[in-house]
Amino acid sequence: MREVFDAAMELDSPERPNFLAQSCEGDDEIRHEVESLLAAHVEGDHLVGRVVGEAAEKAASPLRVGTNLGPYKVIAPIGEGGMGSVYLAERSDQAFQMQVAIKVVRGGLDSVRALERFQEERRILATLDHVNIARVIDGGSTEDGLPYLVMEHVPGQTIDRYCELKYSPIRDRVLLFRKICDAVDHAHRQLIVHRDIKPANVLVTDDGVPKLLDFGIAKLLEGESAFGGLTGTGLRLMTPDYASPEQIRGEPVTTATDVHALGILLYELLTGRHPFSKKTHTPRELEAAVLDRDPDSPSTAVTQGDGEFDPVAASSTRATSPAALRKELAGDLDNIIMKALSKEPERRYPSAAELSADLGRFLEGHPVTARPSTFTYRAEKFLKRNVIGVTIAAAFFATIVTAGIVSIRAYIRADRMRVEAETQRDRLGEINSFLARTFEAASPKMRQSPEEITAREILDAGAARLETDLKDRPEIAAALQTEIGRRYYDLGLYDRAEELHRAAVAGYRSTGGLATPEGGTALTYLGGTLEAQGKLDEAATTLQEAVKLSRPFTGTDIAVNLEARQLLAKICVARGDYDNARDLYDSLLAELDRTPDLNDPDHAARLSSVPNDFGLLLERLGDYEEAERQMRHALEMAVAAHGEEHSVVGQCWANLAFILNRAGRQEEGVECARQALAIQEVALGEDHLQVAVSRLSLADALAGIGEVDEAERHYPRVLEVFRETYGENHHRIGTVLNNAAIALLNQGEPERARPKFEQAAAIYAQAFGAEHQYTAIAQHNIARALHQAGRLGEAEKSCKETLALRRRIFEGDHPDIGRSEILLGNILRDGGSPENALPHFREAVRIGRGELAPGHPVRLGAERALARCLTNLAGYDEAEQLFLGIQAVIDSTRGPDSDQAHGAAEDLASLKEMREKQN
Amino acid sequence: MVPDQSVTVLLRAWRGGDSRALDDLLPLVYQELRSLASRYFRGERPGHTLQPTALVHEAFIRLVSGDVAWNDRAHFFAIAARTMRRILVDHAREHGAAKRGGGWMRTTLDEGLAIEGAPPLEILDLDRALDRLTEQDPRAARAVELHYFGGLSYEETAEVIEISAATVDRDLRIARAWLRRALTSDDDRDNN
Repeated sequence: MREVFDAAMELDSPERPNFLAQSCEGDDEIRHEVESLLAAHVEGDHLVGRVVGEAAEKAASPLRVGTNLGPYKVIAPIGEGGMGSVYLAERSDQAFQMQVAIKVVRGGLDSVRALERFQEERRILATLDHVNIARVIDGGSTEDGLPYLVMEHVPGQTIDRYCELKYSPIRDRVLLFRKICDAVDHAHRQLIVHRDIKPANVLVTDDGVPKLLDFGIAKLLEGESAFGGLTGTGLRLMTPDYASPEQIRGEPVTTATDVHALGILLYELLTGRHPFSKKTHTPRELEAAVLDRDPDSPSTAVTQGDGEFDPVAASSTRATSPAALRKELAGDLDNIIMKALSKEPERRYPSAAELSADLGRFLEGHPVTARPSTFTYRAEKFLKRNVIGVTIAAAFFATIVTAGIVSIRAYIRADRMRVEAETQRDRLGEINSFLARTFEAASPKMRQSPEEITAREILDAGAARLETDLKDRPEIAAALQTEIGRRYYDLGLYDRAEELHRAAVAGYRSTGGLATPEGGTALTYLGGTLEAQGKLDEAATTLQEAVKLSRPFTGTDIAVNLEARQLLAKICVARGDYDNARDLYDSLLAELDRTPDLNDPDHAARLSSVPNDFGLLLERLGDYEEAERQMRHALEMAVAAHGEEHSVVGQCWANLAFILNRAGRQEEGVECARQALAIQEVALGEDHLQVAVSRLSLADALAGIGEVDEAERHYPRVLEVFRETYGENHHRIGTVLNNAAIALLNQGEPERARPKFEQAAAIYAQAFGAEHQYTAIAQHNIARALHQAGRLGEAEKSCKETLALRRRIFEGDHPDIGRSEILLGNILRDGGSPENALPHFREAVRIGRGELAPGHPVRLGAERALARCLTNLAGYDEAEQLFLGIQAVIDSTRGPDSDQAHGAAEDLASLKEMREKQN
Repeated sequence: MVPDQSVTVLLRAWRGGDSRALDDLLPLVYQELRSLASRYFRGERPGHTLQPTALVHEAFIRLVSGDVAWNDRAHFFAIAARTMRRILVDHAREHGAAKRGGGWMRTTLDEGLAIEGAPPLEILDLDRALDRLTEQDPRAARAVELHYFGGLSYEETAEVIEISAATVDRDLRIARAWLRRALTSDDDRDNN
């Protein structure tokens, strides 16, 4: 048998059947065996090597199943790769379950500094918040010192498999691919480059939502300080299949690198073949092809069958025929893909968004911008060393210049761009050349490492050069400092933002430019940054100065003044200084009334947000009547600006519903929420986030009027959209769970409600920290559920903990502390010790009377609880006074026929009865 | 690290016909390979797919002094290749226990494995197939062990088995076809 097989292998395949027939004459068994082995023979078969290699990887795996990493418990290995090992894990604390993927970095990081850098980058990655990007949730290092990342777990198929299994036609594939472009563009706007886009990194969930994995991870794991002596070998860490020419050459990686990888991905999705794999067998040959060979155009590639590619099979998985597939790809799609695959980064699409836009034009039948390349076009070679300037600058400009300076304020834009177009162009020119120099300075030639540049590094380099380079143009330096500071702020790097804004303010101050719209903006941003850092005192001083010097501004420049005051109002709210917040909103509203430009949608949207914010503050204070008035005002303005059917209008309706719910007018709340939902569904589509927000208001209102069945149908839909948008453990998920559980509690189902409250508490604790207002709310509700279930011992303990927590969180009095006092009092009273409950009720009443409107539920509830407790303890006179006061408030706010009014009357009646019995 | 003389001595003793020497030798090699494998992950050379090749050669350098006779060297590699196979199989067994814990876990795993885009072929399947190949064609099976588990080149493999490199080439060719057939045919896997 061996001899026959070996001899057959030496022959060309067409000769083998004859040979077998001769040499195995009469022995069918041997013949079948050899035939079957010949069929199993594959040239260059790596199967055995792969199985052994994978097993070796697993044997060297750093984590065992069952290990705990922080709150996560490793459940199973998912995959091993060049970068590290990936595990499925779940959050193992509390009652709530969440699955995550944990990626452990191979090789470790060899210094504290390297680990710090890893953590810093990780935090930047965590700022990526996009429905098509798998989120980075957490990170740390294992006991062995190996750094790891915790990421959103995406169950699903790789995008290529997903499309093959679904027999997706070309248009569906393009639609799906465009979502990936959106995700990439989102990241580019944060100056984060993926640099390892490939089908294995794009998973599609069963619902058809594509998710890009491992954003920026490639870089994170290769960071230069991580492996001191090994820089320059970075590229060798990745497979060359999806590498760009500049990556192979070891040149800087830019946003254009991702566009190239997207081009390869699209090529594969549409044709079923890799653009460079033809006639390449080794990684080296592949690299050469990526560098020098123009791939076949997609429409050509799908017609040329060979041993590995079958045109009929490829077209049938695309629900079409070979000829029709060729025709569909020829022209626009060919041009678009080939443009994305240009060897020179500057010839590709400048951004993923533009690639996507061209595909959009193709889908709609409009002319696309990509053109077939001509000889002269090809012959053009741009200055290669400027690659980075051209490409990253495009991203940098997208965020800083267009989104920044040009629209520093929507207000400023309209006028300024018209009147000062010339000046502005000059300034942009100056800024442009400054940026070019910055990129050069940050470029690998000037640095120790040839690795790519991070957003942070660009900002750092820019910030460092500003003072020297633009010494003679201090006003431009200050403008750039303001914008760079703004980017730091967006990245959550408040300390750096503060530095830059301080420098900008100092620059404006020294040139006497502080009293200009730009100077005022710098001051306002400094104030906003300080506010974000919690340095409320200095923030307030700064903003007050901004308010003062921007006061003389005219026309739309007054926006600076308004923004500073809005921030001041925010600080007041944060400090619990509701009086001043109220004054600020009052004066802002008065000011806005005088601003003429009501017709400009930008302005109107802004105008309506002031009464909107004010209305929400008033709601917190329990002044529901005024809150409602403000919200209706906001609604009116929004309708005037946008018409009835705009989503901003829908939002106002939703907020109005919220206020009415809180005021105890849930029937009206339901109507408003239905209105909001109807508008939002039309304006935004059924699954939009804002729609879900309106739906949540509706569900809350429905639960409030006892329509629990309908409410329970809405909560899961809200949850679904929120989960899709935010991932599993976003604080808003906590809110939905919390509210849904309150509906259950109101229905008398505390044991069903409690696990949901516990989940909400865990989510809040993760999102905001344990010492946070929201975490405390969910914990308070756990205590309520325990109380309602009659588990008084546990309830008392839990409630006391929450009360202590709230006292730590809020410096002074706060309605939430009042809520805890009332609940604790109720628990003690039901435990048979009204005399111990009494001081808690008194404290709650004191808090309620300090700040809150008479109709506020905390104030009213505290007074009522105190009065009832006094009745039990025979303190009739004081109780009667309280009940009478309550009755008066209810009569005026809810009307003498309301349920609450009847309740108050009953309280008084039973007091009278008790007193008579006593006598 | 100075190579441990004892390994060289044991190898020589084994060649001389002392079968107990092998019993002493195996744990040493096993230990060394395991610790190399785990350090490999932690420390050096990020990004490379871990291949046994480097490990076996490194273990040789660390355990055996340089001036060892060529056939002692050959024996060492034969032992190391066998040991490596055992390490991988042992590990897969340990993990296998956790994996086959329940239907739910299995599903999740399969979803996760889709990331790799390949069916989860197990080292355990390969191990069993290789045992069956040994019954039919022991020399080809040995070539597989040396080349794939021991990381030896064709020439080194030829040296250890004492056949020509061309024969190793042919042995591996049929072995790959045989193993592929065994690993990818569904009937065969169900029998496992």
